[in-house]
Amino acid sequence: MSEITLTSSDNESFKVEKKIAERSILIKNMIGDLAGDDDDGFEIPIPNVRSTVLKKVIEWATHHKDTSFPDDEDEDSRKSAPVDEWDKEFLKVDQEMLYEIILAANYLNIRPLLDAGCKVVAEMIRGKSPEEIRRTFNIVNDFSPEEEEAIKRENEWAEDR
Amino acid sequence: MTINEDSGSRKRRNISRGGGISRDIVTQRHPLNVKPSGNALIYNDSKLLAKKAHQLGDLHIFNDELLLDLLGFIDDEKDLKNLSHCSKVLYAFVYDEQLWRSLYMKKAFNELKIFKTKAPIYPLNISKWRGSWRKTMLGLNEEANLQLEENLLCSDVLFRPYQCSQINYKELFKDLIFEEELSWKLKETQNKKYGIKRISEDLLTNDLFNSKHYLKPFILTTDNKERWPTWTLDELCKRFANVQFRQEAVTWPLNFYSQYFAKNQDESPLYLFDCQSKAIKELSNEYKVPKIFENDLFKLFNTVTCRPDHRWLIAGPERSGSKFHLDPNFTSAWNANVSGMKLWIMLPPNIKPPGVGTDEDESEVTSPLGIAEWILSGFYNDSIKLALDGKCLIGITFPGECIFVPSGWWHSVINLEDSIALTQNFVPTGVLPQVLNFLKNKKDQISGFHLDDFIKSLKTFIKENPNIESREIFEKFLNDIANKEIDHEDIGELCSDDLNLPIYEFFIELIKQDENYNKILPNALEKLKQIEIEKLKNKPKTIVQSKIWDELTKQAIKTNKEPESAFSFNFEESDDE
Repeated sequence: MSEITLTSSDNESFKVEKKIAERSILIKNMIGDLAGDDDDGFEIPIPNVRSTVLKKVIEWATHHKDTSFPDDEDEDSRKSAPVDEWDKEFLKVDQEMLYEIILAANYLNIRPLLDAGCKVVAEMIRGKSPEEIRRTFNIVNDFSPEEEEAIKRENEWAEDR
Repeated sequence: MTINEDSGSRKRRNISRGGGISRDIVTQRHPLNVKPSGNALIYNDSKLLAKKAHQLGDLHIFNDELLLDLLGFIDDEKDLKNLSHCSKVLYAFVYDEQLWRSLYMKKAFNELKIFKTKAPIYPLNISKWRGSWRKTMLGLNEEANLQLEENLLCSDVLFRPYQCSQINYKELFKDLIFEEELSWKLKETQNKKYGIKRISEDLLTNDLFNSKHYLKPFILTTDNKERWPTWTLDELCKRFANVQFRQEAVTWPLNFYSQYFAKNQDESPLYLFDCQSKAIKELSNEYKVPKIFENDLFKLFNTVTCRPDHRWLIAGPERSGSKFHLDPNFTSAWNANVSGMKLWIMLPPNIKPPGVGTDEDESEVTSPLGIAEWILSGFYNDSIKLALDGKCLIGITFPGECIFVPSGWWHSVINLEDSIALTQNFVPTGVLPQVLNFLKNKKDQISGFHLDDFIKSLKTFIKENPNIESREIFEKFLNDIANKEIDHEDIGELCSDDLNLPIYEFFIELIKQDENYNKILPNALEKLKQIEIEKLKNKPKTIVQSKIWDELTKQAIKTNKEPESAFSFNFEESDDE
């Protein structure tokens, strides 16, 4: 069983079972393209992921090393599937960490983790008023009075279909 | 990089590239004043950047593409609306039509899955189209249309689809349209270099077609103004307002589609492609199939009532169309233009279309670009280069013209104006060996058969013809399938390891029983054998080649050499097959 070494942006190295590392399509392709037959000890720098985030991502990949996920191309089932219970717990982190996990999953091309992260963010928006959404995401409201008026009208126009 | 110029003063040069089009176009302003990404390089203003960051809040951490991807996970239109009411930049992000279209499709799909035949005739009970997906889903007659400051949001992800939705094909292709319109009126194609030949329907006999013309596209012309129907969508809508038609992934009453048809901002507008509605049965009595296309081996499946869908009514607004594809089951097709102009780009079987990826078997086709994007990215001009080299045909069909699409030809079709057409797939005798090869050796690509019909007709066939050669194979199949749940879903690409439909064997038996076609069968089987031998001959070579490739890439990496220099020598001999 071969092990791959992943090095974070702040130079911390993690030894990871190849199968786990290959949950990342980016890493999988790199191993395939560059490592050759003897890939034990192969080193991959992950220059835009901090060690605390990389650690979390590895934790996720370790848990899911044998999970089979829906096909990447199958957008409907990917998007409509509910978030896995374990993932939900796993993603109960502060917002900054959540965003960084999403960024890392995007960069490393780990579609199921990216999907789970996006769904959690979508949940943070569900049922909220614009003012509540602004507070959740620290969005600055700089509408002019005329624009506020236009938005209000758009709400009023939304008639029963 | 596209620079958006509001003045619109940039003069278009008419670049003469043997028919290529100028892509140097000026695009209309985005309705909310989103700019192309290129502008950010020029107007790099820290105040603007800070403003954008404030308006996105925490979401600023994501790049535009990822943010749009994330918004695709919001599954309620009210949540989308409320998010869009948080700031102007978010308003612009959530204005993206694809976002709303996907949400509509997803919800309509789920509704159908849950309620099946009891689903509302108007999906999501939305019976009025309001000009855009956003307006339609929110029930808005008007929108706030918040205007962004100049260059506050420079984003191709948002700008490009809008730009593509505004493409003006009539302007872009005006030279080609001029030439082809003349060809239509004269009934003779003027473009001798790579145009599609026009032939009078009266002059093309069955023998001529089946001996000589079945391998290359041509356009049938006629002097008879009543040869083909002249329906417009409005007329059809008067007759079939409440009849449901299929448009790609959704089924709509025609009066809803006609509202959508009249006004939408989609990059690739939904294309009506219907074979099942009540209307097509009625309409099929109102036209006659050209005689030369009547000779059709797949009619044999008609007689046992399990023919794949093959007869379609097509309607599409300007800008709609089909990306590059091959017709199913290696069939040929004809397509008669009822109204509107269609641009055809067609490539012979051994030529890969520009901008399209296929695997070796052509079972997986990836065409990532929409039609407008394909053209704006320069792939149309690449096709012209191929055409000048004799590897591609390009032409426009007009009302009353009927084009022939030979088996195995890649083709892309673009509606240059609102258009209605009729099309049918068929199998001329000349391509029988190739069709047999497809049904026998590309089982995983067979499509369009309905499993329930197929089983029923096979059972009847065995009963009526107990002494056929393939009886054992048929019975084994029927045995294998006895415990499976069967519905009317078409087979799609259903032939797999655990479901092996004996379509090839059934087809052979049907041909044997037909007193006209059974005469050509021995010859076709002989040719099939040759095709299979050719295929085998070619196979080992590719394995050898890839081994060599693997060896060389390994060497190149180990010795840190430039890979190109390491394996260039071996390319020449394996490349020119």
